[in-house]
Amino acid sequence: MSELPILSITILLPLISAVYITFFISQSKSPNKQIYAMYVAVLCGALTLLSTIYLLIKFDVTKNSFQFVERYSWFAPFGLEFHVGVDGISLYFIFLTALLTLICIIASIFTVKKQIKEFLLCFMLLEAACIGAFISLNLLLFYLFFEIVLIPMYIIIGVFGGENRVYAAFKFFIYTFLGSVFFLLALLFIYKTTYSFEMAKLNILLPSLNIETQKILWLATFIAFAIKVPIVPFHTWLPDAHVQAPTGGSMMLAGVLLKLGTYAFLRISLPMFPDACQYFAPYVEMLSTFAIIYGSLVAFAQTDMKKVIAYSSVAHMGFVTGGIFSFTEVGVSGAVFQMISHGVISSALFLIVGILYERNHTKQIEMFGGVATVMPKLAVLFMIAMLGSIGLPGTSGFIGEFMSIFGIFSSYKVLGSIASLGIVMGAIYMLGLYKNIMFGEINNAQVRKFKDLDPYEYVALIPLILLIIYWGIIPSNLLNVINPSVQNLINIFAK
Amino acid sequence: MSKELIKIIPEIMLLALALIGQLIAVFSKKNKYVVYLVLAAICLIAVLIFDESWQILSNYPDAGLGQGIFGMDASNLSRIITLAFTFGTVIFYQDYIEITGYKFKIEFITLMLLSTLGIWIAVSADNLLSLFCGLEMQALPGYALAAFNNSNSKSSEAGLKYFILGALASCLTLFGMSFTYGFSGSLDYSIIKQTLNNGAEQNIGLIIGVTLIFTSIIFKLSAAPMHVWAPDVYEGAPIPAVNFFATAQKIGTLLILIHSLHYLVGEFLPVRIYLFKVLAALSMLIGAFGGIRQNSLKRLMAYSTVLNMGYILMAVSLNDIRINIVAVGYMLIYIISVNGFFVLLLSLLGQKSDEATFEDIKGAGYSRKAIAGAISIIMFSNIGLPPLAGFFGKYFIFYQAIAEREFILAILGILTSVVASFYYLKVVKVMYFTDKYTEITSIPTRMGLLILSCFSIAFILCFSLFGTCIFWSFVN
Repeated sequence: MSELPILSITILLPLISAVYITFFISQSKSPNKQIYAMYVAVLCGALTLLSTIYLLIKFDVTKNSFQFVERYSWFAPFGLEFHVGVDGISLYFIFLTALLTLICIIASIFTVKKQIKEFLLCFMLLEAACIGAFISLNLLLFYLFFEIVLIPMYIIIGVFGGENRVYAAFKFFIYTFLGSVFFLLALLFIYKTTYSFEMAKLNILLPSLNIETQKILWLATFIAFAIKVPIVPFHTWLPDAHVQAPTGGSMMLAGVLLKLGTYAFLRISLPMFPDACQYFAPYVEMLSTFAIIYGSLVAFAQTDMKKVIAYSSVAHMGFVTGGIFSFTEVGVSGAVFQMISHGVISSALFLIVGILYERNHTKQIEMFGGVATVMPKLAVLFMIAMLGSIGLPGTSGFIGEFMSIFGIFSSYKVLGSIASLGIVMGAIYMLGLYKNIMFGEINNAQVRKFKDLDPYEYVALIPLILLIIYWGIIPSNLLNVINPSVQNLINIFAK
Repeated sequence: MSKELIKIIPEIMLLALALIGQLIAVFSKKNKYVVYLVLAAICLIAVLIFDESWQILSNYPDAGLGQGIFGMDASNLSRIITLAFTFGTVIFYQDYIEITGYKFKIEFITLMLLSTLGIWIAVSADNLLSLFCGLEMQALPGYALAAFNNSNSKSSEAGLKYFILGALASCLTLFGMSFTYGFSGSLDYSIIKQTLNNGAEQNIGLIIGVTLIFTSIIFKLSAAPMHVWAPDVYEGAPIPAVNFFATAQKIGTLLILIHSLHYLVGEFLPVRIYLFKVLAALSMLIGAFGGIRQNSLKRLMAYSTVLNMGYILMAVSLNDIRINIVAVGYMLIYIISVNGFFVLLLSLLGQKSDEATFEDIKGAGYSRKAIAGAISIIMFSNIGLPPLAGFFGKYFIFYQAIAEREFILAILGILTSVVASFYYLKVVKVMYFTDKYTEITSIPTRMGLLILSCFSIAFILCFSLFGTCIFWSFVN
């Protein structure tokens, strides 16, 4: 294996291109700076994606530890090191981030009319920060990236969003920031107790703290992650943020940012506070099941397309947290699989909603109807994504949801049964959404003028749909990578 | 005799500079050259302070502040830091004059230098009288600086308010000093400290006296409940004066506070710790909630300053003596960002910066991109987002608070930080999140402002990279 610092390269690529777009493009002599910036961004996105694919290929599933580890001292007096590495759980997340960023950029450069440079700059920063968070092996470094994510997302929602974007941006920022500061306090306490931020060391040192301390620390971190995931009742920022964000922003938000919260549960809460997790697990499971049912019910009542999908995200993340806190191998693997597949599926759905919005300039469902007759190709792709969201066998959504519910069911029979109702409810609102938009008569005259998919929309949408089908039929590639790491995690609870 | 005079050569030089500069200005045609002379002389004094430190290193007692920083002891460090910010403010003043075209008299510079001299005297004070002289010498020019803009009635109002409230604070301080003298029998720090620490719980008079002494210091720091002058004075005074109040005065006063806490109060708990904990909590609350409804940018910075002084008082109130380094470090980080903000505000709005409201900077993100980006960086740093410098400042302070198990203050601190993030974000919002905006007329770039703002932004951005060196050299 080469000694190439591939992970640093993966993080640095977006950062360098962000700096380049900000500072150097204005000096260039090219006639149209916006197009230049677009080329740079697409190139960088493609290169980052290639490097993550390289990681996928070179990853060794038989090894039981973190791979591609790099460790540079950054701010030694306070335990901050640039300590990064991937294991089975985080590997596909960085692939997801890189893929989604590239797709978002492609989807957005034709739709965002003004300030495209700032938009691309924010996206590059967002990509770097998300990748950084997923590969961090140092707790403070993770917090750093966790927080950096807020800045570009705030700008994206606030500048490029819908009518109510200012309110949504503020709500998103302040709500998430509130959770994060509690995380910061927990971090400081951890450092005071152990004088180390290295996750490997903390996994050994922290579980030996007494149960009361563990519970308080767990609660502090729980607030931060629960707001991020989001777990009902901390979810109220999500509908506003998703609906008001531009298409690319919603895709990144749903596809990647939500996963930061659940990934943090897996990386931090479970290994470091196992006793507290065991103590609080029933409550979290109850909240998760509630989220599944509540999210589905609310989604059914929405009239705005994007809100339906936003609430469906809440419901799907309920599956994830339910799977995680079941502490069974099947549950946690299913949760990770669901995270990745939901990332792809909800991004595809948001992209489709964005495409429809471009055509009709409204998100109200009643303004659509019968779109399938004018846009048959979109209808097919939308159908696949929608079925993936429901969890039809053959799509990746099925695997994730099935394994998660299996996990919940093994530990909590009643909650598992209620959660499986959630799948049916998912079908209710999704099928309803699809029918109201795609089928039926064309009531709105505007609909007749819709053009079918543009080439760039194809390029953006097809990879996602293909992945949904591919992972649905052949999940083993994904599962073989995830399972060993999950097994390591679960062994903590085996005693 | 001469050996003692050698120790105060910097003070003598500063005084001479102030007076000579004033005299030259009376006879010279353009004030500009006098300002440049002052700048050069300040550099000379700074060099002298650095150099002198090697000579008297062995003789000077340490103040528990920082030993061996670049080979300097505490009082030299204080001198250098305040001088540095005065230097920055003088540059700022000169560019302000040229941008706005006001015809300010040279007394502005003289008053600033004398105010700095006052800080120096108070920092190295050994008995209550020197402290009082220093505090007054620092305060009185400040009152005049606030009222300097003759053409603006707000400026006169600001000066008047500052003067009256400042005089009240000084009266309370003097009252406290007289009580202290009465109940301890001496004006000397060491004797008062001894009396205080030797079973002084019964000596209510002494406790009251010593507590009241800090009134003036808290006033200058604009910590609650002595913060009331800050919004009005920040809003009315001309921006260079505000810059001086917000930077040199604050860091100087913090150094005075640390020095006097260490030498005057020692380990006497009620004053040393409990008082400042309460003040810290109050400042945080008032600073966070007070800034939410503000429309004027300068008032916003005033409330932001109150909030951050809350964090600093929280740090000062902790037990460990090394906390003082953290407090000074945080103050430095904050002041550099505030300095940067005022510089950028001036570069953006020019003459209108004295009355700057949110309406004035609306849409700046599109018409003056670089300046708006820089202001956004400063705002995000003040919120405390990594990897900017503000995060590390807050990190140090909250870490020390948690280490001493000050959970209530720490939680209050983070909650107020979230509340305050609202008005910091509002600045970013107004600059970027608007569709319709009026073009902001372009102000010609001035070299001094450019350097100051670049320094500020570079510091904020790169702190995470080189901050470790600075920090480690402080602690060791």
